[in-house]
Amino acid sequence: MEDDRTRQITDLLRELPPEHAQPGFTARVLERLDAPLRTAPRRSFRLALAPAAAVLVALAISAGVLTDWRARHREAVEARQTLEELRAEHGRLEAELREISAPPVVFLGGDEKVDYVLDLGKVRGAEVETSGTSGTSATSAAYHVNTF
Amino acid sequence: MSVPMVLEQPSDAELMARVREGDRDAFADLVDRHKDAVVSYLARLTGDRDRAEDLAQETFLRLFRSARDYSEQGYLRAYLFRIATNLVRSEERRERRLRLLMPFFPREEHAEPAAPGGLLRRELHREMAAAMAKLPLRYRVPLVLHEIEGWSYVDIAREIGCREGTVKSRVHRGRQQLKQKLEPYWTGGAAWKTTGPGR
Repeated sequence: MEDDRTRQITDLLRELPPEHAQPGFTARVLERLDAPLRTAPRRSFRLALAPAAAVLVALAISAGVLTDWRARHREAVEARQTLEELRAEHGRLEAELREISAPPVVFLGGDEKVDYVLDLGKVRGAEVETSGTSGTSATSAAYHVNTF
Repeated sequence: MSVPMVLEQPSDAELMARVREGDRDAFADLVDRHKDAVVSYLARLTGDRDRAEDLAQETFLRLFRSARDYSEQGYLRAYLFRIATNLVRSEERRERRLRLLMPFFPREEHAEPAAPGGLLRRELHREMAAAMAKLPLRYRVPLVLHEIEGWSYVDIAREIGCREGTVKSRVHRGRQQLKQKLEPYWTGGAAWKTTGPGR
């Protein structure tokens, strides 16, 4: 069977009818001798446009890549700014919290040379009452003087 | 009674010697002598009649332009076939590269050569021509030269620059691939066999 098919292939190949040149072939060849030199016959207008099409495709892809890069860069910058704002806000809130949490310092009085203040943060387990500028009505026994 | 003079046709070598000097009449004679063979060879290689005609014209143009470099070795037709094969190879390479860049461009459909004979036979010839055109060029060329042009393995080997064993191997592989491509016709082939040549 295999040899038979091989023989059939050979027969088919040899049966293919020979082709003949179209009338006027030689005249057309002689005309092309005088035409501008070209490396290959142009069979298709589309093939002639192919290099330009390839350049356009490359440019479109580059433009798309550039646009995408710029958008990502912009997003990154915005994200960094937001992060910095959040950190600043966090710092402010921390400072406020410290102020609220820190015990007050009470000014008791004094003269030109000495100021008497009561640092409530250093008072342990004692109730402290703040008073006016004379500072004489403090009831807590735990106090100390800071001289500035 | 006068004896009519028989004018001998100039040989290819004589015509080429004149073409080298720029003699266009000699060139036209060469074209007339070899045009059918070159067109037929290219039609077998490409499976496209119109394309074959165009490439054949280009083949002869290249012959004329390279006439000074042509070295007479007694077989101009082989030289023409070599130019034609190189043209097909270059064109197929270029088309492959373009197809990579332009997948959205529809590929042109090549016209199939018409064949004489009954309907089934015509169809088979058409399928054979189409299948042949799709073979790799390294199988197509030796197959066409051996099976259709009737060249010997030795001549083909010398022409394409390889060993005789390599030519035989490529002819064999070309046949194998044609058999595979025409397989549907074998399996449904009772009708084909009855319309085939009487043997």
